[in-house]
Parts: sequence; structure tokens; C-alpha cells
Amino acid sequence: MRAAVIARCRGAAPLAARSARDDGCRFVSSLPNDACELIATVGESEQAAGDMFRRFVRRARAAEPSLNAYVDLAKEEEEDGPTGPVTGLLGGVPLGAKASFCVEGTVSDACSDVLDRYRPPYTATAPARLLESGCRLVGKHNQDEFAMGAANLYSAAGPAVNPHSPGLLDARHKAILTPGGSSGGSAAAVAAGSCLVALGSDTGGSVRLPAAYCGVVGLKPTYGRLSRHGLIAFASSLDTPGVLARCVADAALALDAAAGTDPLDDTTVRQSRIAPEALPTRADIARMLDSPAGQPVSVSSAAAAAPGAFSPALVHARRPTAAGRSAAGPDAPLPEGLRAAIAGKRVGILAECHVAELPEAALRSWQEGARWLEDAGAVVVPVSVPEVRTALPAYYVLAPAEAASNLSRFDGVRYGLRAEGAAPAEGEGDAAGRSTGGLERMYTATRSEGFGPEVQRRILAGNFVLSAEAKSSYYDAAVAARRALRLAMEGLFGQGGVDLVLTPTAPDMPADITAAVKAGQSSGAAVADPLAQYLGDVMTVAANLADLPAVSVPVGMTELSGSGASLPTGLQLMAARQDERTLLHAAAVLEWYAPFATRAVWPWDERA
Amino acid sequence: MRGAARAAVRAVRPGVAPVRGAASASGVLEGSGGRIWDLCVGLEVHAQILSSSKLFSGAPSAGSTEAAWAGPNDCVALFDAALPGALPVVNRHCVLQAVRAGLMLGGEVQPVSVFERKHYFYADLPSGYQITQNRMPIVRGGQLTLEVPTGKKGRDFRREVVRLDRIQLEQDSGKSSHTLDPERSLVDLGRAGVALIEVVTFPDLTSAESAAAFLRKMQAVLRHGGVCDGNMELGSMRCDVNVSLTERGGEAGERVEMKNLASVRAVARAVEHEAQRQLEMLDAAAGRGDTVFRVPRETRSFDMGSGQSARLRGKEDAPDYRFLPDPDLAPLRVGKAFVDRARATLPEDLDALRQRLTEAPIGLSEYDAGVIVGAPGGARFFEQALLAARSLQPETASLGKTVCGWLTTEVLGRLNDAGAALIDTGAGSAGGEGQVAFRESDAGWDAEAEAEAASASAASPAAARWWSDKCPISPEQLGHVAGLVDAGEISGAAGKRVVALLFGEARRGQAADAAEAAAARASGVVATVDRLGLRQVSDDALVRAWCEAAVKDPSAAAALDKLAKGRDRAMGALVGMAIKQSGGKANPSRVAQLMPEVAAAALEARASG
Repeated sequence: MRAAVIARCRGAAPLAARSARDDGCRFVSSLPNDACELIATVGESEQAAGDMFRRFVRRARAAEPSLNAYVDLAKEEEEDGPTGPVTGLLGGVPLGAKASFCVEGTVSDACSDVLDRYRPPYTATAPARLLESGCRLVGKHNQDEFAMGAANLYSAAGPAVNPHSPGLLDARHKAILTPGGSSGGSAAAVAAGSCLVALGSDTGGSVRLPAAYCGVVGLKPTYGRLSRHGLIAFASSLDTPGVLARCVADAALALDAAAGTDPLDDTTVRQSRIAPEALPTRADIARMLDSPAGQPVSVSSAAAAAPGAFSPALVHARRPTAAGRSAAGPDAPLPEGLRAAIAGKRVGILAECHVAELPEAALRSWQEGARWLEDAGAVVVPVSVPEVRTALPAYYVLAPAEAASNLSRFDGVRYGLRAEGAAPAEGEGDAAGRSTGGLERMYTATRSEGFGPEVQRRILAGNFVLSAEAKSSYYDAAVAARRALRLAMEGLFGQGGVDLVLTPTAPDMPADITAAVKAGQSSGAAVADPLAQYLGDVMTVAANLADLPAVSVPVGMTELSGSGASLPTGLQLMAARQDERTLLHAAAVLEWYAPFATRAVWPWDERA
Repeated sequence: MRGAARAAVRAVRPGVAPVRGAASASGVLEGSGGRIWDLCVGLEVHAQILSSSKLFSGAPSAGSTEAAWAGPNDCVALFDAALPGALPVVNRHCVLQAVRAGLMLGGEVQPVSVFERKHYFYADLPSGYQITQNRMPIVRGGQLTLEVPTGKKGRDFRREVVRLDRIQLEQDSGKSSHTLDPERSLVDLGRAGVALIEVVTFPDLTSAESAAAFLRKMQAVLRHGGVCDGNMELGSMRCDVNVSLTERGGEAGERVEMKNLASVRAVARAVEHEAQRQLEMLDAAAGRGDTVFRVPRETRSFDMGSGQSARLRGKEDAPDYRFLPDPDLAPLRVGKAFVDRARATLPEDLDALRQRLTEAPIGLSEYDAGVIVGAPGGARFFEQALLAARSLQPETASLGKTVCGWLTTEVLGRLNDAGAALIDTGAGSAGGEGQVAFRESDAGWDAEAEAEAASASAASPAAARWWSDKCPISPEQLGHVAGLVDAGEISGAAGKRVVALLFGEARRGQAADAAEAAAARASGVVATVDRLGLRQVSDDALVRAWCEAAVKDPSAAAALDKLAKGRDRAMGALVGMAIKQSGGKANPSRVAQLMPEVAAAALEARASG
């Protein structure tokens, strides 16, 4: 399987000439650019939805040799779909989910050999709710093993590839780049348009970082907003299911459809699910897209007044796309609704994120983002939270500790890989005379074979920081640091503080992984310096430690170190716990102003 | 050998009467060189909570009706098998039961407690950790008052108070079965995740007898409250024992833990054995001149069959459990209203109930009261029977004792012989059931507690049958029998006949008559007594006539002769003859009252004639 990936990657040739436009819209396709467009296009026609789905699956299959984004992919002919009109809010939207999410009958192995292409008997809450609202599953996405990694290099399925890689798009370039991680396959798939919405998981930045590298929207909601039931755990107190989408409105729609208390997850926030009648109807969405942004549109009254829903206002204020359908021109003014939502909000520029390593271009787009928010009426202020400096070390104590605990269930007894190990030695057994030698040998062999090097590294680190001799100086200290950060963040977002914080999403540009891809390397032998990868999370972990909602929005293309090729850049917004409303409105403002509004990267489309 | 070893241990505690038999009973041991050692025993009791589903999943719990019918691995939810992605959700009813246990044991329910993960690898521990409570248990403190038998027959006892350290809520593990194939074991996860409370005592217990008494009392309290069926043989209650010897005036000795003892007797034997083992080690060390020797701290297993223990692990290879607050479970918050509601569901305090049974107007002996409250459902059955007995006749001083006697010998005795009990274990006499997911505010818990209490009180009408099917007699029926006997309306023998009939038993020489038994159950005790003509005659004129007929009978001559010679015991024979004359209907006490007069008259007549 890995050999096939190498061959495909080597053979992947640039397929089309660049578009003249500078906004990243390189290829034109007749497929909808995002979920809103798809909903408006399909209407209630089951026939149209089925055809559409098959075309997305075909696109995914065409892109797969270059991107290796999927570990399990629907077959076109399989999809007959339900009969009758499509009425669900997200009816017909092609969905992908990280392999960490259990979906009944699909490969849900967190890209670990220890789960050996495990197919679970049940479906996790988050994908189940999206499927209930009409999404159709294109497939399961490649990722770093158990979500541990920032480059999607540590995967049993081999590395996934960033669709913006210059080497894929342009004959003059060779570089094959990482999509970021750990939700690398999801970000690559959404960027390549092989699915329009994807579920990722974000423990230290695993949705936001790949979203930034691949030029899509990556939303990590408040901890507890989306259920973790059925998400294979990495670090339970930090794991947050997140949404990758092609625009802020799509992310909001998916969040509205999936959020709400889950009786199967004790840590979900107490908040009832949003009633379907409180959401816009499919017809509302079509009408909103067809009317100039800012013009009032008559939508069902419940949706207009929906207290808990995020999507209605955002769908209406959605940035028109060049290729898609919209009555607004590209130079239309910021919609009044967005301006009203952001005017007077205080946006903090976090000093601790102004690190020396930050590339000049990233700094520029950060400044630009702040200016856009100011233009929309927000007040930009410099802020400092010194506790953020301890966030990364605290994260790399807490996350491995919980991971070591969570991963102890992978023992070869009930599912997944079982390695028998060497023959028993004489006289093995416990003090009571029971023969435990065989069992322990099986554990050791299974876990040594099944877990990749990065996962093993973190299990060892986690067990160490929890051990009697190290607990107080590592684990307890990290818990204290986390508590201090949470308090500081509460203070920052509290009375008289700020409503939002703006930072870059990534401290750097995506790395060149050509060597790893050519070698078909997975499991991290290609990663020379694991510590360098840990730094990828420096901007993002604070939101996880403080349970805050955060989003990465693509804001532009940055030139890759003098090569002439350019890559997407993302900005991160954070908001107070539970304040996804302000967060998403601010994200929509950035999206509106940004010259890069998630344009398609689909050289793999069928040529009509 | 064993007897010799025991003889070396002499009880010398001043003020505490030495007890025959087990020499370590008083908890004070004399070692070589006259060194005095105090025995300190602490217990950890694990009790399975009666609930229909497990602590963190919806799978049927051990003791539930579903589990009773289930095969291996039938009662296993996604979470119990630790499938990837499955999460725990706290079962509110189990929390309620733990709170009830805490209240019954006089502990303080903690407003916030925390579930933690205790890590170790074993095939019957699917997630690789047990969810338990460590630093913040749900209940702290409490105490239990024990009755430690001191007499030979156990009718005498002394009271001891044992302080409790804590009660924690935790998961049970699955069960491994080791097969003949050394490379293959079988695992049943049916028990994995069943809720346990672990009750931890301070090392206040001073003897094997105290330890046994503690377990019996703990069984009685938990059964009384419907928290646990306390069945040690079936594993619904298990015990770890910590034993140490502390030299009088010296610092506390190192403790040795004995794991997983499966019966009250095993606990007592293990304590005796371990005390002896430690004393021998200390004596041997002293013999070498090592007077600062400390018993190595270790964990041992105890084999009831051989009476021997074996080392499992020592201090140096003690596992590091790497405790971690479970990030899947928010801290458990139990509000005041929840505790109040839990308190409202509690039965009368066991010690108070026992005390009340010994006081007027019931007036049982301490021993009888202990037997009644010690039997699951015994107190309830007794009080309902007593109520029924009172309805037949005015209260007499003996009525309580009479009812108690009939309950213990005729009902509990029969059930015991049949290996049954008044209450079917596992049916769960404890209230409603509920999974809860919301823990953001106490309001949710309290509102639900209120609703549950309301439904529990509505669902338990007093008239409903609550005792085991194995006990065909109702409290009312038993009360009527005892009441009739106590009032002299029927003889004891007649009473026994009615009870046997209700139990559907055959009379000697006859086949059991199911129809008659059914008729007796349907028509009630009073009608049955009348139908069978069992009612005694107490009328003086009739009784006197039977007495006179008896003494006139030639067969009475010998007895009268003896009586004439002053051998008063012959009066009994005459009473028997009079009863025989009546065809068994004469009230024996009336006969006994009238016979001396009639016999005296007969002797006088003989003398003068």
C-alpha cells in the first residue's frame, strides 16, 4: 500500500495552467465551491444530490494518488442514497471524517497499526448528527497516529500531502509539502474539494494548524460543545472535535447541526440541541445566496430569531465566491450584519505570539488582519498573558499523561492487532502461581509492534510524568500551569477585557516532505527532530488548555521563501468560552476582507 | 502443630475477658521475652451496589434480573469492553446508593468528589485502568458499632465502635478464567464496570472476632438499606484485610495486606493466621537479638483450604498505579437537596431498630433482636407479623417474644435449611433507577432526586408482597399463628401444624396436600384453625370435666400414687392425660391450673374411700 503511494506521488504531474487571478482560484469547476452553494444548487432534488455526491467521490478518487488523504473511501456505485426529497439542512453535502471518529463499518483506526484497520460497531455522535442532517460520507481521512503529530507524517497509512504543494500544481516546482497535522487528511481533502465539510479533532491545534497550511477554515469550538463520544481519545481533557470547511458559514452550519448536549458524553456543555426549525431552510439558504449581501432576505421567522444558532446570519453574510453563485460582486461592502456584530468589540493582539521565529510574511498578514477588524469597527488593543509562555510545556506534559492512560486499552485482548510475541520462558508466572507470562508477552509484543515511534515516545513520557517519583514536579506542575492559564484567560476575556484575540495560526510555513513521500515513509522515521514539530502547536495550545473556542481563517497567499510558489496563510481568532457567536462573526469579517477566500484547488477534476 | 502454635499466643489484655478457643480474640499477644503486642486490623470492604445498570454504562449490573439470565459477556456495553471512543456516564442511582450507604454509616457526604484512574494491565481490566476514587472520595468518616460475641453460644457480646476512614465509589473488574491451556485464558466482562463501594476502616479492629463481627454488621447494614445483598460467597461483597502488630508503647508496626477474602470465616482465619505469622517472625528476630526488626510490608494471599498465606508482592515491587483524575468525568457534585432526598429513602437506623425491639412493648432479648435485624428483611417481616398478631388480641408482655420465636424457628429456620432467605438477593429493594448525564448544576440532580423519591414512595404500597417466593407464609399469617398461640387459643403443636400446612409440607404418614395448603393460604390462619378444629378449649367447666375424667381413669392410678408420695412431677403426667381426654383440645395452661385441685380432691377421696 505504501509503495503504491510512492508511485502515485512520483507520477503526479501538474495538471493545469495557473489561473490569472491572484486569489488562489486556480481551477474552475462546475461543482459547487462550498456547502452553501451545494445546498442552493441541489435544492430538494434527490437525483441532483446523488449525482453531485458521485462527482465528489470521483474527484476524491482522482486526487487520492497525489494526496493520500483518505484511509477509506466510498465507491461511486455504492451510493444510492435515500429516496424522496432532500430536506435535511445539510442534505447532499459530501462529508469526510478523520479516522479517529468511529463510523459504523468504516475504517476508524486513528491511523494506527495497533487498531489494524478497525471497523467499529457504532457511530460517534458528531458524525452521526451530521449524517442525520443529510451529509453523505465520502470517506475517512488520513491523520497522524492517534492525532499525535503536526505534519501527518506519523501515520500507518503514510503521509498525506498538501494540495497546495507547488510540486503538484506547477511544473516549475518540485516541493511536496505537508498538509499539517494531525487532521492533515481532512484539511487536504477539504482544500482539494473532495469533500466540503470534514470533522477533525483538535487537541493542541490539530484542526487549526492543517487548516492554515491548506487554506481552509478550521474551527475548534469550546470544549464540550461537540460530543467526544466515539472519538478515539488522545488526551480527553483537551480533545475537541472540530470542523474543517471551505467557508465560515459552512463551519457554522455544521456546528449548528452537530452541537448540543450528548447524554453519552459527560463533559458536553449543558446546552440543548438547536431545533431544526430554528435553522434556515434549504430554500432560505438559496434565497440568501441569491440576494446581495446586506440586503434583507425573508427567511423563516424561527431561523431569523434563533437564539442558539450561529449559521443564519453567517450564511447571509457569506463572502461571494468568484466562481460560485452570488448576486454580490467581489468588491461589495462589508455586510451590515457583520459590521454590527463586530463594531465596538475589543480585539487583543497577544504579545506572547510575537515570537522571533515568525516569518515576515506571517507578521504582515497578522497586521493586515488587525486592520480589517478595525475597519469593521472593532477596537484593537495590545494584550499580554505571560502564562501563555508555559502553555506549550504544560501541554507536552498533560497530553502525553492522558494519552498514556487512554492508550492503555490497546492491549490486543479484544480488538485490533494481537502479536503473540516470543515463546514463553521457563518458570514464568506471578506470585500466586498463575501464568501471566503469556499475557504480558502478548501485551509487550502487541504494543511494541502496533504503536508508532511518536506514540511510543508519548506513552513513555506520559507514564513517566504520572509516576510516583515524577508526578509532583511534572504532572502536578503542569496542572497548576494550566489552571493559571485558565484564570489568566478568564481575566483577559472578563469584564473590561477583550472579546477576541488575534494571532497567527502557525509559527512557520508547511515543511517540505518530498523525501518522506518519495521514501513512502510513515511512522516518523522521516522526522529528524520531533521537538521541532512540537513547536508547531505554539500558537494554538493555549485555546485547548483554557477550553476556548478558536478558529483559523485563511487570509492570503504567502510566497514560499523566494521560490515563486505561494502558500496559504491563516490567522487564528480566539474568544471567550461559549462565545462562538462573536468568534464566527469576526472570522467572517476576516474572510470577507481576505484576498484568499478559500478557493478551489482541484486540478484532479474531470475535464468536461 | 497448629494448635501448638496457637497455644503460644496468650490473651493478656487487662479488663478484657479472655475468650476460649481463639487465643488472638482479645487482640493482645504475648511474644517471647514477655513483649506485649497489640493486634491492629483494618478492613477494606468491597460491596457491589444493587442497581439495574452498571456504574458508567447502561449494561445490566450484577444482581439485576437481566444479569441473572445472562451468559458470559452478555451484559457488556461499548464502554465496558473499552471500545475505542466509548465514554463513561455516571449512573445516578449508583451515586444515590453510595450516598445512602454513607448516611447509614454516619459518614459525611462530600459535596465534590473526583473519579480517578488507577492503572494496571490485566486481561479482565479492559481499559487498562480502574475508575475509582482516590484523593477525594464521596464519603469521609463514619463509624460502625459492632456486637462481638464473647460467650460460647454467641448469646453474650461486647460492643465495639470502629471508625471508618472513607467510602469510595468504583468499578468492579471482569473475571478471568484460567483454562488447562497455559497459553489461553477466558475473560468474562459481565462484571466489568459493576458499581462497588469500598468502605475503608481505620485499624481499630483488635481481633479476628472483631473483624468477623464487623463484616457481619456491615452485611446487615447494607442489606437493611438495600445497598448490597452482602453475599460474600457469591462475591457481591469482598474484603481485604490489613494486619499489623504494634508493641505496647512502641511505634505502629508495618502492615501486611491480605487480598480478596471471600467469607467471614476466611477473614477471621486470615487475621489469626497473619497475627501468628508476624508474632513468630518478631519472636524469631528477638531470638537473634534483633529487637528493632520490622515485619516487611507486603501483600499476601490467603488460602482458606490450607489455612496458609503466600506472598504476592512486597513494598519494593508494589505497583505504581499512576493515579490520574479521569478527564472523561467531571467532578461529581452532590448537593444538599440530593443528600436530603437520599436520607428520606433510608429505613430506620439498624441500631435504633434493634434497640427498639428490646424495649417495651416488644421486649425481645438482645440476642433475639440481633437475629431479627441480622436477617435480611427480618425486621420488616417481624414488625408486620407483630402488627397482625396484635390485631387478634390485646397486647401481652409475651407477644413480641412469641412472634419472634415463631419467626426464627419456624420461618427463618426453614428458609435457612433450604438455603433461602426472606429476601431474594439481587431483586433490589432499592428505589428507582436512572442514568444521568447532567452535572453542570446541582439543580438538575436535586430535581431528579425529588422526582425519584416521589415515584419510589408511590411505588411501594405496604400491602404488596416484598418477601421471597421461597417463603410461602406471609407476615400476617405468621402473626396470626403466633397471636393465637400466645393467647392460648391454639396449642403450640397446632400452630406448628398450620405453619407446616402453609409451607405445603407433608404430615407424618401422609402425602402433602397441595389443595389443602392452597386453601389454607387463601382462607387465612383463623379460618384454617377453625376448619381443622384446632382451637383450644379454656372453659373451666369443660376443662375440669376432662381433668376429672383423667384422674378417674385407671391408668392414672400410678401417677396418683407418686403424687401421694410427694413426687410433684407426676402432675405433668396427669395434665397430659387430661389433654388426651379432651382429644387435644384442652388448653394446657388451664389444665395445669385446674389439675392440682382435681388431683388433690381425687387423692382425698381415695384416702377417705
